[in-house]
Amino acid sequence: MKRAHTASSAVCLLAIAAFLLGGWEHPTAAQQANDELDLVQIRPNFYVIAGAGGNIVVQIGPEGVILVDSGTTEAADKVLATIRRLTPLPIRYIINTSMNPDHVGGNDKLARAGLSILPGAVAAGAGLDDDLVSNSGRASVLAHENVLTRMTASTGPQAPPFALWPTKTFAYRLYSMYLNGEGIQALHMPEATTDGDLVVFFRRGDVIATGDIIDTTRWPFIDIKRGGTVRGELDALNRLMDLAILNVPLQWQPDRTLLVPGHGFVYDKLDLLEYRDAVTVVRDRVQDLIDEGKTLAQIKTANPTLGYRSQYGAESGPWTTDMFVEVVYNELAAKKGKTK
Amino acid sequence: MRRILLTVSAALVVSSLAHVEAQRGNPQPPRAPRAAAPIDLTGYWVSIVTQDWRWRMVTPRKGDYQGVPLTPAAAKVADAWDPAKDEAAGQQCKSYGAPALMSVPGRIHITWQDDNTLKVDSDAGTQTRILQFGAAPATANTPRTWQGISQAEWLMPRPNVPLQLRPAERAADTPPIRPAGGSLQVVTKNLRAGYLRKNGVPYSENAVMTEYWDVYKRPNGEEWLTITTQVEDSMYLRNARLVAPVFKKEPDGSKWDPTPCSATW
Amino acid sequence: MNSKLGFVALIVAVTLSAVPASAQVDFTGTWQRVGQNDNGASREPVDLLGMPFSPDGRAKALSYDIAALSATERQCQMYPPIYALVGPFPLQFVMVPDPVTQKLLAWKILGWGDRDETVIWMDGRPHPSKNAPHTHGGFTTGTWEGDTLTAVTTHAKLGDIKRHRGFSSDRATLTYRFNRHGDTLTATGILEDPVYLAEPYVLTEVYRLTTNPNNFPLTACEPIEELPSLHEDPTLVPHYLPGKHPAMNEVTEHYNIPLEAVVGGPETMYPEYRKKLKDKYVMPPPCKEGCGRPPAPGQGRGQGQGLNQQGEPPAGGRGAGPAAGRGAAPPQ
Repeated sequence: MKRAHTASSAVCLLAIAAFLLGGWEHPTAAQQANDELDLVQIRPNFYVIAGAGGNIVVQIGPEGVILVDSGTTEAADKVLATIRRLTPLPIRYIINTSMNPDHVGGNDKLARAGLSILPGAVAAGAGLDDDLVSNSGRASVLAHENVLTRMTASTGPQAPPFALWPTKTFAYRLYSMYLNGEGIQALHMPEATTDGDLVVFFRRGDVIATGDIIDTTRWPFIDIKRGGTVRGELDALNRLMDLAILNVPLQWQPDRTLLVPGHGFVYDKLDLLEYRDAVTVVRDRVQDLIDEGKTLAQIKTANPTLGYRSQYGAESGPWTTDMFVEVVYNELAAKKGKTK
Repeated sequence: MRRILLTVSAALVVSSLAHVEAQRGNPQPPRAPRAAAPIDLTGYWVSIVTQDWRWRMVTPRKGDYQGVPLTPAAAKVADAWDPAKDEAAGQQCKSYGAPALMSVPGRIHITWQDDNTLKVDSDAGTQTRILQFGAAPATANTPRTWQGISQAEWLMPRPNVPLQLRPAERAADTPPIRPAGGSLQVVTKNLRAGYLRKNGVPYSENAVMTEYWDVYKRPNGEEWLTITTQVEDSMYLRNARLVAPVFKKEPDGSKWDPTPCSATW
Repeated sequence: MNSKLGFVALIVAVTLSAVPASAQVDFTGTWQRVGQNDNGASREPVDLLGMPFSPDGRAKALSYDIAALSATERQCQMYPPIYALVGPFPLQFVMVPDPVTQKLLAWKILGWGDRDETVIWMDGRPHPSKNAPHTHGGFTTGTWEGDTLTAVTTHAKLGDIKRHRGFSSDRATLTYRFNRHGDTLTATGILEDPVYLAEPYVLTEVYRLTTNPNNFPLTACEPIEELPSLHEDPTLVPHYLPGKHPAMNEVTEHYNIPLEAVVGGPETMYPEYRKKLKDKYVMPPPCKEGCGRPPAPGQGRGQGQGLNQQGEPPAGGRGAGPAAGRGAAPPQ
């Protein structure tokens, strides 16, 4: 009895103290652990993992998990942990939008953690090692054949290791499949940022993973050494314009095609339009200056990216504004004689 | 222990009831306006001219009344605008009267003249407005001036808000509602007829101006002042003229630049 | 027994101190725009007066060709939130209560014509990730400061901040302050944009509570093939090359305002800029058109214009209806 009395008195005193000190203010919540990856849900069964290198699209359904890209090797454990928080179902496919290290670096670890959708054994006498067909039971890694060609041809310390190579490729315009209730099309975008670029179109979810064809943080990185061209990049952007649908006629509704870029925030068609226009305007300005007889140095001084420089430009780093202008110039100057 | 509990509980009840009574608006003992000020208007403030630019930063051309709901009588007066004549008659301050002054690009310096009076100096036209709390209304013999007689009043926010009034499910780590804030209301009459704009758009001596002065102190330290200004003039305005010029606080008066009135610039 | 009495007394005391929840100030209703600030009703295509653009913002504005609006994707584009202080729109406030507690969950400013609605979340929820999709209206949270509502919007799309004469990027942040004084509401908008603005762009507007609203609710929009050239070649992007905007000098020609002021920049907002203008400005001849003269006696009301509470069109022809050519339905 005395104990209960003491306890109730203590509770009263604590309550009074709390009230006097600030009412019923909740104590400051403990900060959640910052695991550096940003998980954004864009559809009921679609997520984007950002901060692991390139953006990773995660599509979840009854058959398992489809990933578009796999981030960097260093972030693979965190990516896997993030996926595991979403679902225990196995990763079935990784589709690479290009050969860029920050998009393929997690191929090995994430594929190993997955489970092939294909049967393990291959008919005897077929002459095929079942590892080639089913990736030793791991998730398949799909890319355009040019990605594999480039990877196998690479030498030196920058060469991607075998473990990161795609296990399934195609050389034609598109590769289609139906999984998780989704029609999935991997569309080759020739000579865009590279000659191995894919965009992955999830038709039911109306989500397009664009890889580095769109990079909201900078000018598209046209990798001319690996077959990238400005013309191909613009063709790719315009093709994406055809694929994407805006939220009309009810423009206040949220339903619309979502485009997940290689880096940066999730786009819709209107954002894509601005990005496409920015690249086109710079191309037009450089063309105009070439037609006036200006040299590359003069063109750089004229600053043809003005209006977009602080949005997409960089003054230092691996891909600067001047580098982008130079790529545009070289391509247009080389064509100049043929168009007139 | 039991006595403590009962005493404290009783105190809580009493304070709660007092809080409710306060919220019902029962008057507390009055404090002087300076002490009671819910916002701090003092300091140097600079006009930020993003609105009505071509009617404020330059002298607009004669006959351009866009944005002012003039009566035909007012248009007639404005059509007769003659700045040289105004200068010759010593009336170059006509466009610096109270209804226009806060829209003239310049700086204002606000201080307490005494516990009941705010003083607003402007470097443009070297004018001074006196905002008197509890001022007596003008009589027939009170001379009309460019700045008129301004009666000021604090508009107080509701009393400190208990945390129970927080919006639904407020996140635990978001900052609490700040109970500060309030506005200054100023009503100005007894004006000498002047110009709402430098190109002769008139207001009459019957004009009455009502202002609400609101301060916004941002988390980054910036302070902004918005002066909602309503001018009513049955002779020269079809409807109330409503504008809201904006000022930004400056750290000191180093840019203070007194310039005399001008009828042309 | 006495300890129980004390405990009960405490509970009663605490309960009494919990007053029913309510908004600080009630904004519910339609607030008609009655202010006469000129926030964007310019006739000239190049008019960036007083806009604190960065070099990028200025270049973006000067490259803009209004033919770009005819692109299918832009015809149904909605204005960004700052445009509530620029366009003729009223502000229609609706309180959204929490379904269980009935406490204030959000204020909603309903959409109007081609401006998206704004939902001001009052429950302390955080803004979305920087990687989340953007919308026309963005994402807005609000707090009370006394009786003033402060709202912050992020995640809005690129859009006009002065009708076809300047833009905010998708990285802009808009801070709104709503001050109610009786039946008068003053909205102050502070727009910050690391891409297009060198300093904050601050606008104000004054509204009055009305029982005779000029509401134009959001309506469906169907794009049409407006410019054949854009549909024959959808890769075309209308824009003006640097220095080649055909209307660059119109403000200078009409009002004698030097071009350096017309193209904006932060210094043009400050009073000391008048010193730079003084020797370069000569007052032009008297106004002949677009002067804002009072209507002649017996003149009819303007078509499709916003009307004030006296049922008159705003002075100077402002308050025009939504932009033509966007496929929007006419006002009802």
